[in-house]
Amino acid sequence: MICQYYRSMIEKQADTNHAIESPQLTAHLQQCSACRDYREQLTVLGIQLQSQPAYEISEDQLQHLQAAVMEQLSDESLGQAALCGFTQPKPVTRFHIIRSIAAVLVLAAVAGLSFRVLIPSTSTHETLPTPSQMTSQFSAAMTFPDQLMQSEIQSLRNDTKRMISFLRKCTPSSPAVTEVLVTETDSEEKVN
Amino acid sequence: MVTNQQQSDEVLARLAATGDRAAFNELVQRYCRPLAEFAAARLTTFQDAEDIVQETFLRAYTAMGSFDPSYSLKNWLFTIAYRLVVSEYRKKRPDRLSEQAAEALTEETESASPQSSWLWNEVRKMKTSDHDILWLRYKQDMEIEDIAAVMGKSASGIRVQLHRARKRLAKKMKGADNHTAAFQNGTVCLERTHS
Ligand SMILES: [Zn+2]
Repeated sequence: MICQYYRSMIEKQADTNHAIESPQLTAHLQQCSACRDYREQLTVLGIQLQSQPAYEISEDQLQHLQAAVMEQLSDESLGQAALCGFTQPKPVTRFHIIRSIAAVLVLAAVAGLSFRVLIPSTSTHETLPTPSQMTSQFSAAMTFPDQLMQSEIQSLRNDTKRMISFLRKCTPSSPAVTEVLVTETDSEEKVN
Repeated sequence: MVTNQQQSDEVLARLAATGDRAAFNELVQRYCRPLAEFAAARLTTFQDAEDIVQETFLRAYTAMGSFDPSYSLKNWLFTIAYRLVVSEYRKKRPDRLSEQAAEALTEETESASPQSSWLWNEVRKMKTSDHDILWLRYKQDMEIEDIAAVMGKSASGIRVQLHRARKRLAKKMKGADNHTAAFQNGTVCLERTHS
């Protein structure tokens, strides 16, 4: 039982790059050869794993690969880096300007129509509308711009989705992406 | 004047985020080999590793602006590479291949690689995540928390898995040492070290 405690301490030492000093462990190791062997075994295994090759690539392969990596960094990827950069403001494109003008025009048209329906001119209506006519006119006035607003909101939603997916591509360490990848890792475990 | 070689990873990352190719090139010089060896050890061929390394650096470069300097750049690069390796492995996983191709892949993964020592070939026969944990711990000197961050797992889970993997490996080593001259590639022998 007591050896189990010291062995877990030995394991902890093997898990870290920093030396963990423990006078109790030192004292135990002096009188317990089984735990001394255990520590020796872990130390040797660690040295073997560090020193023996797992896969070594040649100097030629390395240089070829380094050159290939730098070659692939085209102007396009450089631009993307600037776009994601915290120091660079996001550029306003022609698409954004046209979209903004179109949105203003649509809103102006909707506002004008609503005004006409809600407050009809006396020249077109000689008599006052009945309460039921007023209700139907009011609901028509409310649903028409509402539909337009819905489509505008949907369009904004789509833009936001596109923006989020772009940002995710740029930030692989973001929690949302990590979540996806945890799922990937889990499925890999199942394969194993 | 301080050269790029003298700069920390994090300073180079900041420079690279502004489009400084020389700073990024220094990062490539530092991490190309470990990333390539990690991918090659896991996927068994240098060709596969080449693709992983290129993609890792391309993704790092395009996302460098959003890199958080309080995080280790080394861990970040390994996180990207690890995810790509896992994804590549999944594409090739035996249940998606024909029977013949699956058999060939299993043989390829389990057969001794000429570039690997006996011990690392034994590691490759273990679970892929055991291999990754042992590789990151012993080839990159990563602490448990770093390995957990790279692999997107809990530190306690990684610790338990590492302990079990080491135990199994120590057993194999002992067995091999008693019966065969398996450590032809190795520099230290268990018995010799004891004496
Ligand atoms: Zn003991």
